[in-house]
Amino acid sequence: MDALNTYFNSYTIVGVFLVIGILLPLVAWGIGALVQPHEPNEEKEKTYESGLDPFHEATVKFHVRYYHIAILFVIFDVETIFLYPWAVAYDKLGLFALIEMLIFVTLLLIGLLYAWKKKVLKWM
Amino acid sequence: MDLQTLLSFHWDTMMPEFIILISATVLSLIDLFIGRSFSRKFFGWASFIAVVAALVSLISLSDHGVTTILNNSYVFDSFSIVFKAILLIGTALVILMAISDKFENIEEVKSEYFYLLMTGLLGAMFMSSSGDLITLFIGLELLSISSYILVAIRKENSKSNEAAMKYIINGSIASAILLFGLSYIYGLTGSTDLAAVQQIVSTLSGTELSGLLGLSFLFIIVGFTFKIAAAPFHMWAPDVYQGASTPVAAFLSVVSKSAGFIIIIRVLLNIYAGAYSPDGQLPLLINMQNYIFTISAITIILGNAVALMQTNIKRMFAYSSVAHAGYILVPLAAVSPLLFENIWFYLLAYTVTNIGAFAVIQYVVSDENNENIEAFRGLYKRKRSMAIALLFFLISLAGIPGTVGFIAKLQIIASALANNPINITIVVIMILGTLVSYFYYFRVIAEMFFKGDRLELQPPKNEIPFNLIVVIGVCVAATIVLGLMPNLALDNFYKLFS
Amino acid sequence: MSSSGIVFSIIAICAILGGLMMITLKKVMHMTVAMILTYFSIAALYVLLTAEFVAVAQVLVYSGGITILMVFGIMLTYHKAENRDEEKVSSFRKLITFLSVATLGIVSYFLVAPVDFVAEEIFVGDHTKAIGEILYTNYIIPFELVSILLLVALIGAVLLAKKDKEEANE
Repeated sequence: MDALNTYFNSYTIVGVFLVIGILLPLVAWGIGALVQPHEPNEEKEKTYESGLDPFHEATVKFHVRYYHIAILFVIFDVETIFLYPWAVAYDKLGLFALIEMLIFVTLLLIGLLYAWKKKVLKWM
Repeated sequence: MDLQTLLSFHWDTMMPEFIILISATVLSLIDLFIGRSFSRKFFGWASFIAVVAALVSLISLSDHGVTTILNNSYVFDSFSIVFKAILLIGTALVILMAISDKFENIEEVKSEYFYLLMTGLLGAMFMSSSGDLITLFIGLELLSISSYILVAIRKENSKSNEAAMKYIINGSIASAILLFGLSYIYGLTGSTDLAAVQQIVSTLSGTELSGLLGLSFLFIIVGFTFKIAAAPFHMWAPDVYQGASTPVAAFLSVVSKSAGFIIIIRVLLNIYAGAYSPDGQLPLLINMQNYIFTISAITIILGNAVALMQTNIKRMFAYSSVAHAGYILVPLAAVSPLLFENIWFYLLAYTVTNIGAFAVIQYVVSDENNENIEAFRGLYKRKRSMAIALLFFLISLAGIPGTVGFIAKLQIIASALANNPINITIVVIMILGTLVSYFYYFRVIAEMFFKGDRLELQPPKNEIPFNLIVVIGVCVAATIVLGLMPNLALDNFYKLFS
Repeated sequence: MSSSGIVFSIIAICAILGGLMMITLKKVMHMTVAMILTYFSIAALYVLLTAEFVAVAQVLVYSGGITILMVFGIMLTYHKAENRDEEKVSSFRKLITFLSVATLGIVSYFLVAPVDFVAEEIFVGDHTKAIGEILYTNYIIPFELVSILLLVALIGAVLLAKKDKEEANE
């Protein structure tokens, strides 16, 4: 029970930060809304584009290669998750775990190679 | 666990899986290192040879005896051998079909096409020989994700894009529901090993916890019925079969469906046959029998009724495959003692006849560039061999004596009635469904043999490719030979199970 | 209610709220933010169960990876449809959906309510090491299967998102 209490107490600081994090913007906005004068006009409500008049839509369609990078990131992210407990427990696992991990990494390297050969990594 | 213990396992029983895995990996590497201009034609034959090699090694291992590796993560028993044989035969035939497949962007994706079929097969094989919920689920996901990609592979076809979208969204939801159900099992027993689960659930009988076990049954059955395309979770099937290219549709209707039934048998029989209902009277499986019964009845009725209204041949076969899923559920609903044998033989029969039918469809549809039933008009006068082959497949699917489909249906009906006369209801529904199915199967036959003016008919533009001749030949032979002498297959089955 | 019970209730309400907002909000970007709320709440639930490694994995993969993927997905596409008038869903369908969900909820409640769950001893210690020791001995086969699964997913993603035409023109 003692260990459990220590465990939860160590997370108190996270809770405190969470509360501060939520309160800070709320208070800032709240005070701002209370003290500011409210006189909207057309010029004020325009989107700010470095002094120029806004001339096209704010939503721009991005190129699909951003998506490729993102999907590669997610897949290697998952791989990292698997590497971590392996590294921590390595001294208890021994040679066989090393072989397992080599197979795992090799298979994912094939994936990287695939992405490379299909010119996904090339930024044209 | 030290190296000695790990090496003491019989890893050689995993030979078929290793063959598939290594050849898929090697093929993907070869694809990356040979130039773009190089023809990818040999990929199909290479993967066909790999699947056949896996089948041969499976047969050579068949007298190895029961082996388990690492707390049932891998189980090698007679059950897994017989069902893996169906999966391998099915995939080998599908790969042969795929060699001459044509669609808009086939040249760019030719190599991926074949090794994704093989990874799908690998997932299905692990589903049939694992006794651990985690491995079973990952096998299922490997099969599902490979199938999603295979359906979406015709990128320039809007039908295929739509089908892939529907398939992946519905499939993911079904997987999530299934996983939720499996998490109940883990929560109740604290183990993912089916053998351990089986022991623990039998001690839960008569407590409130067995109510939760019933709830998990509900979620699990929803996830599985999606996989086998049984009503009411069959709605994806017609769109996906229509959008996917014909070999992929054959793969989904045969290999994916068989894998679904295999995992149903494994999970349901292992977990729920030993557990008892809250009042502690009956096994939970018997208690839940009514649900399987209802699903089976709705599937048969709906599949056959809607198939009557289809004009697209692939949609018609999708609904027909829904109806067949209903027939295969009958032994489970009736809890026949001969459940394994009935389901296995029906799946074998369905594999050879349905793949044969899809092979003919692939040829006719690509030749006519028309997926409607009219594409088959006067086929007998235009291409006699094709019409006769399709005739055999259709009468086998309809279950007419002399074909393997008849024997398979007869076995299911006989053992359902022998087990318990109450099962007469489901048997009557099954027979009525079969009678209705005559209408739509015979409509295609009538179209082929009796319609079309001899003068107006054009001879087919293309010759039948060699690989399709092999597929159709093998399937026709199997349909007739197993229909006349079913013991050829059943003797091997009994030999393994004795 | 114990203090951990109160914390659990707050987190669980946040998780459900995130899910509800995700399906009711109109703009995709807002939906994504609502989903992040759910992901973080679930990570907090893991922390409550002392499963720190799983919590970190949840934050890393879902709140990090999956969210970025969704944001890119949003940026890749136009969202004119957001402003379109909503298609009317017939009230019959709404009723059917509500009835089925309500039935499931009531049935689940009556099955779960009578169960007297025994409080299990919570494992406080090095979770990461414990997971590593089990995963790389007993669960080798699913672990290696996962690598094939990831490979297939990667190949599929590249294959489907790649533009063939563009490359052919080079």
